[in-house]
Amino acid sequence: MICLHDIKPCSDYQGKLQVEGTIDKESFSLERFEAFLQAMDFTVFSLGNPKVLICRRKDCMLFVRANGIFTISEVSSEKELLQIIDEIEVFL
Amino acid sequence: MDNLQHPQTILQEYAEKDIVYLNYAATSFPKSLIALHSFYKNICSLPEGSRQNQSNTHMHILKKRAANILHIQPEHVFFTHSATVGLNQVIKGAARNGCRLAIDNRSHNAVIRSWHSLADRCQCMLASIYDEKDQFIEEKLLEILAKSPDLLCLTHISNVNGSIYPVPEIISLVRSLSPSTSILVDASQSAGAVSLASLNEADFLVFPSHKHLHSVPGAAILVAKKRLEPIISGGTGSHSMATETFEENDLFAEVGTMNVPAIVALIDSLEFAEANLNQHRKAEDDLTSQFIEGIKSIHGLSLIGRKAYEKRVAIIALRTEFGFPEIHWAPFLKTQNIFVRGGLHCSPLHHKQLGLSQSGTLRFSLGWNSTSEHVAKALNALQEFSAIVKKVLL
Repeated sequence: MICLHDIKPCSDYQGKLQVEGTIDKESFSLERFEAFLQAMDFTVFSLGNPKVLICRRKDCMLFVRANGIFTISEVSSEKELLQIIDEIEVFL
Repeated sequence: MDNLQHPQTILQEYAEKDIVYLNYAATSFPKSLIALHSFYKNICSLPEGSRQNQSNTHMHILKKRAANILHIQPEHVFFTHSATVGLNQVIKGAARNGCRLAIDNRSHNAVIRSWHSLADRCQCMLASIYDEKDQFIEEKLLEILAKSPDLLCLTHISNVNGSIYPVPEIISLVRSLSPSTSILVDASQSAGAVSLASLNEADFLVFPSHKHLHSVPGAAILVAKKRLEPIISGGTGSHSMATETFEENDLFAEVGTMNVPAIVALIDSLEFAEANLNQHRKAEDDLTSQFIEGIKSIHGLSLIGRKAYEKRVAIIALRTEFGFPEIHWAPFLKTQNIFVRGGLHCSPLHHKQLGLSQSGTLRFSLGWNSTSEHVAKALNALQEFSAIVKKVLL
């Protein structure tokens, strides 16, 4: 399941929303999630220590860590944000 | 009860998580053991006598200790719940219909919004006394003083880029040219970072416990040498039959239940910071230098503000050529367990002057327990992200 924390406006980036959340799945694998995101039209960059996926699509930007914690930002509306979450839910 | 842990155990657990916390200008993390020890010891103490202000009571002794460091009289020391409350108390408590209130162009929103809220009954004036390079413009101060403001609010240290402003010199100028003007100094970024004694000529001084003093939130010091109208009414523990709450001037800012554990932690932390100021300052200056040197070789990032060792503290602001600090850079750093602040930092006038009202800055603020390894890790992460940020933005 996906647990969302507060959806909030980007405080200094007007008109856009951001949210932090957690993908709660015992067998969560960053590698498989990366392949999934690419199939969802995300451009994915992998870097950092701890490793993080930085995923870009027209409608949002997504950071995902190996522990399942993620941030989605640059979303125009709550409706769009929930659609993106629905898309990710398919992975689970 | 199973989850109840000793503070030192909690701190150790955080240490093992390899967290790099560089957001001390917002609040300190972790809190110092000195502060935590004071806080927990006092929260477990019998709450007796905290409301009395006579000499040799617990509260008065705390005020004497603060006054000793600040080089002022104990009767001028008040405890509030936060610096924001203290700043509101001074600005709103000094305001009378038709009075003239001036703020500088480095003010935090705690000052700006209090000032702005009085615009319908006071003459609110903006003193743009610093240029974009943080140089003091004396002519701008003289323009404001020619209008004889009743209150002038000055920021001692920028919470955006760490510049230290010549507040003692400005106070001298104000005293000679406009003696009737009262002066408030916001020292929110100063306490614990620099000595506060040089600010003792101000009429009002405010600073919190939880930033560079590394103490717990919930307490702040308000120095008030002049009478203010109270902005909150309530019990003071004395003169209880009187409906005029504030006949006793000496407690006007201290109504309701005081957060004594946080106040004791504040005073202990203030004394610790004062005793170790030179050592802490040197360490933070050296780390600032390391950070600024490291930034020079990272593409797409540039320093806003002064060089290392030049009238500044360890608050470092960066301009990002690609991407927004708040939604690109800071979230990436967070994934690396590096905690910083991206955005406007509640200081819109400063950002406006820098031309960064839309994007804000990427701010790193260090504490006395920050290390060279923390700085190196932050620089590595910045280097890594800078290499891909342009592609991420499409």
